[in-house]
Amino acid sequence: MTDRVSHLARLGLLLALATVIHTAEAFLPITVAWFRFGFANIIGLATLYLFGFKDALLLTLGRIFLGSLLGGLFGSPAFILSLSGGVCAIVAMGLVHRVSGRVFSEVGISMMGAVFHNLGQLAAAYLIIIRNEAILLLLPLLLLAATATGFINGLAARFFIRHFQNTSQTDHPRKT
Amino acid sequence: MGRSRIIATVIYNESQDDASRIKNFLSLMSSQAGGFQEKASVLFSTVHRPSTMHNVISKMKKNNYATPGDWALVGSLLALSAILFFALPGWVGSEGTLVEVRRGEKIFGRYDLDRDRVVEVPGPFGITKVEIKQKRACVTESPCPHKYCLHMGSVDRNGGLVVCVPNEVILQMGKERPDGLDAVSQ
Repeated sequence: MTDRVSHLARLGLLLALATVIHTAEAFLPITVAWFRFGFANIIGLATLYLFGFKDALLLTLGRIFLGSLLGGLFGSPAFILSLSGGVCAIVAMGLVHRVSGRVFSEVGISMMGAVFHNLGQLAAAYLIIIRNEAILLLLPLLLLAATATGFINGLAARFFIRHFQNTSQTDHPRKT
Repeated sequence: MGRSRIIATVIYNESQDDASRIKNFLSLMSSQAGGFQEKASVLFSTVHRPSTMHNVISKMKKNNYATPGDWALVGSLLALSAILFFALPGWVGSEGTLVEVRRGEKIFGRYDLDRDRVVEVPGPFGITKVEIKQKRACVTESPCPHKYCLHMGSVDRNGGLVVCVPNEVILQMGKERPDGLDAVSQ
């Protein structure tokens, strides 16, 4: 019972953190329209490692809904892109995490997530928003950006996971 | 005269070889300086203090920040994006069948790409020659001062564009949307 409660509380904290990062990232002064660091994915990846795929998917969906509500973008094309990219990324990360074993560390999984985030976004942009083949020309640039941001986020996620586990052990003596 | 004593601390960054080289040099110096007197004794202590970059790298190695699989993924992604960067422009867009030549605001003519021909378009500077050859369209001669339109090369895919601003000549591949828009975002 206490385990379930603490699990829920932790998940709530992670969701709050992810939402804040998601929203705060929109304020970064980056002029390139299609480029984003995707820092919120750090929390998604950490949740995947700490609590498993279901919770990570739930967190990502919650983060995107709450984040777009906060940013005033709910239901806009930006929201659709965010949703498709986010779901694609978390599903890809979950699959790779389950299948690959120890081939990839958090860094590799994070890069996979970043790449599939961009692929999902591009697919949604093409299918729903702009039916113009020219946007596919962005693909190489998106892949390049995804590799870089995925690497950085992966490292950050690893630190986050370690720190989270350490604090969990010290702060939460299990009494039954 | 008592024994003079030199106390030296050698701080080395990368390898212990550097430290021992400095040690040898110092003891040589001290033996020459104190040659006619008693030999100076040198007390050495060595401290390993890695440089920052070295520190970061050794830390990364020790903590295994990225597995070989990760690095392989980085490499393959970089290679893939490089390949796509050069290959994609050739794949994207369907092959054009029609080129539209505009002179200022007006449509000068629409030409089928299947037939090779040269079209002469008169503009404010003179005559711009547009050539259609082997399903490609380009500007071959222009009276404009900078000749940017010549350097824009030829186009063969829908959406392709060659523009000569001074002479007000525009080549555009493919049909326009029926509503005259490039794309619609809903």
